[in-house]
Amino acid sequence: MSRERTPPLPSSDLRARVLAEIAREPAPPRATAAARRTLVQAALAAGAVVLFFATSHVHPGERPGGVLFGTTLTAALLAVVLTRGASGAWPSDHVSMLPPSTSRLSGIVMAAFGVLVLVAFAAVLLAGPFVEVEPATMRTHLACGGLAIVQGVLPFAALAWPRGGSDPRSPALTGAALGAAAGAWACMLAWLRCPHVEVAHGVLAHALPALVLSGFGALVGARLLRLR
Amino acid sequence: MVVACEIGGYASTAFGRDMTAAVPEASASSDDTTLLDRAMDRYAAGDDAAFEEVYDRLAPRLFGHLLRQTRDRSRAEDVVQQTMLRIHRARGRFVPGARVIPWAFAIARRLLVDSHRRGGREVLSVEDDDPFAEVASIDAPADDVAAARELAQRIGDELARLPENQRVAFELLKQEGLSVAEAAETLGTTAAAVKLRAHRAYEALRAALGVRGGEKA
Repeated sequence: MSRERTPPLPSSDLRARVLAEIAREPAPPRATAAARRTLVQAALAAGAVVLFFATSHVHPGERPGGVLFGTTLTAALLAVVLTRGASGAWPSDHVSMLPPSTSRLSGIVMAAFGVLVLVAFAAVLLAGPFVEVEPATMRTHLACGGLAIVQGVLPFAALAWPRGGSDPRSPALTGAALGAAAGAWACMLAWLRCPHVEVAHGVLAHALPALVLSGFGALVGARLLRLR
Repeated sequence: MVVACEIGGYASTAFGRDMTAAVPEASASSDDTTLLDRAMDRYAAGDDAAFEEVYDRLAPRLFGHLLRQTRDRSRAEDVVQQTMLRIHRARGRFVPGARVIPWAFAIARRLLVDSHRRGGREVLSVEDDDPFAEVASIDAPADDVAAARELAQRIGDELARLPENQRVAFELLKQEGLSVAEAAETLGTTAAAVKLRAHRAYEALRAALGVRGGEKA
């Protein structure tokens, strides 16, 4: 009894069709595409910096230098880790053309908000003895939080644009994770420009925008990142 | 019942063994996979001719998978074509060292789901290819072929009853020959989750077929 079997094969006509279509629609090789991506990402990052200085400035207020430095640096480190995590570059266990697993992406969203809330508490604990705190009003929360969201849009664009149309699995979740990473960058900028050292303000106006940007990322990502 | 072992890529003899035996040997196609990854890397680096090698190594695997899913040759070819085009368009984004198989299977699965949602054609059209038709080409006694056909049909029916995540994990490992790591990457989950899902599918199939097989015997 023969055990050999012939697996089904696509027609030779399909091969010719695919090759013809590819010839009609050339795609740039890696070096060219990478140069374009870098250029656009650099422009968007520069735009984020310009927007920061156009809408605000570094304002320590009554905060000791250590608090300003500590909160900003912690948010920046978190932003770097989340950016690399959301884009699959860290941890570098293996490289992939696909976004990280859904559990990792969900973890990034939760970690972003959780760590930024902790930073808000830590800032108050560190600065408490030194700073006369005048309670921020709801209007202050809204203005500062709104600015953080606006300042997070360009970092999100810089993170999401190169991945446009490439996610075959969970574009909304990938967008949410990228939004959370952008939120961490926005929170870093918020700690640079905002002199209010208060838990409620830190949570509502600095950490919560990361969650809002994550939701924004999910909405935009579902369309922008979806496989096309 | 050796014939049945070969139908549709199922290794029914594995139903009597430990689950570790049910997971295909990753090394069986690892050379081919490595050559595919290298070809894609050359293509991304600017070697236009390398795409033909990418096609030749990838398209048959994709086609086999899609034909099993759709039982419609023209639809399977359509999705293969679209998948190859997406891969071509992503040429400039290809990361050195990335694996092509999980990426390509994830794209193909997405395109298949999308085309199904658009409601174009019936998923299980039998007008073109019967995946069990290959049995007829096996040089075996007619009784064995008929029994093999019946078993294959039953396996297919039982698989269709499984939860989606278990069925897909089982199919990627057993039918498509992906390694656990590749299947996990394709599905966006962990290797442990893939093993668990495939194991549950395997146990469910074994229970279902074992009982009925016993009745038959």
